[in-house]
Amino acid sequence: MSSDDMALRVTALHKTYRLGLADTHLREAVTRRVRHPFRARQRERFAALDGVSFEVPAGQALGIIGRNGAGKSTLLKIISRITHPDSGTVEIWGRIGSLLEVGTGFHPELTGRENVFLNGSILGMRRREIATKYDAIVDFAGIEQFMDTPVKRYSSGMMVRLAFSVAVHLDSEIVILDEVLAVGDSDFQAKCVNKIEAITLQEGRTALFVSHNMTPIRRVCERVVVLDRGRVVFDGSTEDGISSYLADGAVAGKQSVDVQLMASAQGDDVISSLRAGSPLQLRVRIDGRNLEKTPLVISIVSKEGSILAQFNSKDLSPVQVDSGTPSPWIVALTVPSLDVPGGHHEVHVAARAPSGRLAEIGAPARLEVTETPGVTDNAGPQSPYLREASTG
Amino acid sequence: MKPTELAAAAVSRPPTVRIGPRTGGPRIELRELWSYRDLLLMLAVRDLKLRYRQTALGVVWVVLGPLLSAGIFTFVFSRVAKLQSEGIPYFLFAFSGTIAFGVFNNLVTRVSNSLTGNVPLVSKVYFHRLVLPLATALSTLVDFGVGVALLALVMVQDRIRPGLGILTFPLWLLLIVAIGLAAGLVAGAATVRYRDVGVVAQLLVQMLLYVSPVAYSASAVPGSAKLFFEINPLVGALNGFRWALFGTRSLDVGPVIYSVVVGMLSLPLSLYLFRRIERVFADVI
Repeated sequence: MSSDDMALRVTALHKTYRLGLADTHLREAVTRRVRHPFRARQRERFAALDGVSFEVPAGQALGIIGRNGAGKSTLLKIISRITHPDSGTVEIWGRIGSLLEVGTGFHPELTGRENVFLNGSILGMRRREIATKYDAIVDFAGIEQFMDTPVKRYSSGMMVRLAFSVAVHLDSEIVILDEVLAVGDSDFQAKCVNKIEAITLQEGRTALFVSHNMTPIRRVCERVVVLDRGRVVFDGSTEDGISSYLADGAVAGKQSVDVQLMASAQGDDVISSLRAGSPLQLRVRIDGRNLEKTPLVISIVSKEGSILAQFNSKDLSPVQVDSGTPSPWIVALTVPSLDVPGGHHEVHVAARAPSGRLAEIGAPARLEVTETPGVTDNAGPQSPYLREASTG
Repeated sequence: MKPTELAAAAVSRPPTVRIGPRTGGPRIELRELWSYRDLLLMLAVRDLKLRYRQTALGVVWVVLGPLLSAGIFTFVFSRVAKLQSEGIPYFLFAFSGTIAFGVFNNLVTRVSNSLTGNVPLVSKVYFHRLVLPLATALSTLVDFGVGVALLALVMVQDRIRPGLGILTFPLWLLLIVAIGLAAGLVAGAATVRYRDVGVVAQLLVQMLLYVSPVAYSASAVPGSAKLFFEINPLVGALNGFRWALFGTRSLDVGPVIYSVVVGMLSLPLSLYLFRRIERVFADVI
């Protein structure tokens, strides 16, 4: 690839941290030096990045996924120039806009307006640039009437919306988005996903998108890089990457996983749509594993990635179904009444590993839920949990 | 396109930024610093807003400190100890000294806290790190401006006119700022690693007040102690500051030259040290 259509090139990046507390007071440093004048302090080392290389052509939306501690944050910190690598290089063509933490530099005593200008310039915008975009920023956040109120009187939701709004209005050629969707209510999250889609697909900007939530990654990214213990373990298409990442979970291993949705315990008709409030039966199969004894967590997730409902398998009277060889273990779980708003949702199944870690298994099953006429209105989340969250 | 042309095109478009391991000596990167001037201004304005907002008297607090110390100095040194004040009213003498020393004091203490007071910024966002201490310094100069305005009022009241020496006033201010900024930068960078440096710096500045010609005239120092007294680079700067304002006493050239040399050496050195330590800020802050 020539550098003409290149946005980012990461070459053999290494970064090692020393573990344990550094001396933060002079006294500690001095007494240590006095006691052991010739001994350098021995501390365990931890390779956060262990030879990471990849290239991103201009205009591509790249997802970066991996477990906690896989090196994602360190990688982004180096790319956004906050810290240096021990060896290796990062080459960047264009201005980079980094959203490592939404709302960095927001000061509670300053008003919304003042914070927009301050935060914008912290993120690298010129004052004039912010002034021209001010209306769009406020409009996107949807809090016009509070712009002259100190941010300390904002709800956390309002603050996050304003901060995100400033950040997505950055004009950089490359955008780094780190877990930015873990904020706001589901309406605002939907707005954010649309905005990110617009940035990458319509505006043709390069995006590095880090999330633990696979739904927006699927929607936005054409390619993913999977990191594990500081190395790139996968680099390719989004679907393959997510499967490889999910299959790498402690429970699933390399076994094949299957999730089926049925209308009831009777019959074998697999369904893909359901009326809200109806019962739902799930059948989960993992080769060679007794799922009756493995705790499962079932989540109904909206298109935007918010969790609409969640169930524990032990509350759903799991029944083991013997489907005969070669895949003998199936567990059937029955949700008596699925109370979620209408829409195109996904059913995710996660298993609790012996270590206690929850790992998503299999690809999520798609489920279209239709509203029961007259019972619910057609907009907004209906579960009491989300009602509360959206007013918060 | 022929392969050679392709290669030429590739060469013609070098990366905007190239990030590698830290090698070589630190550079100040003034051009990059200049590109962050908007941020510098915004941060300075933020500092001022935070200092003056939600305080009933606002700007009054900025001058109340120097006024009170000058008042106390007047009582102790003029009424009780009956010190000479170079032929101008003692209160004016002490107030001018307090304001000049105040710039130095504020620079050292605020600049040394400018990094550790902004941990989220340093650890989450990239910008030229000198922006933080410089913005703090800028906001400190605004406080100084308020002090000088009040000083001018007192001078008008006392019917004291500055001579031609007033033209050198910016130079003395620059000198005090250079020395204060240098001390603040070194202390600030060290504070990132060792939090107690900030406390030590504050303590030293407090002690320095008593060995500087703030409440008493440098001419009051006996000859035997003079050499020791003049180790303090602020002596020349403070003498010059007063000389520019009142022009009453002929200026001792020795301490002034020494002060200028210290200022000119310490500022570049502190910038170098700051940029050197700065590379690990995000990792250790």
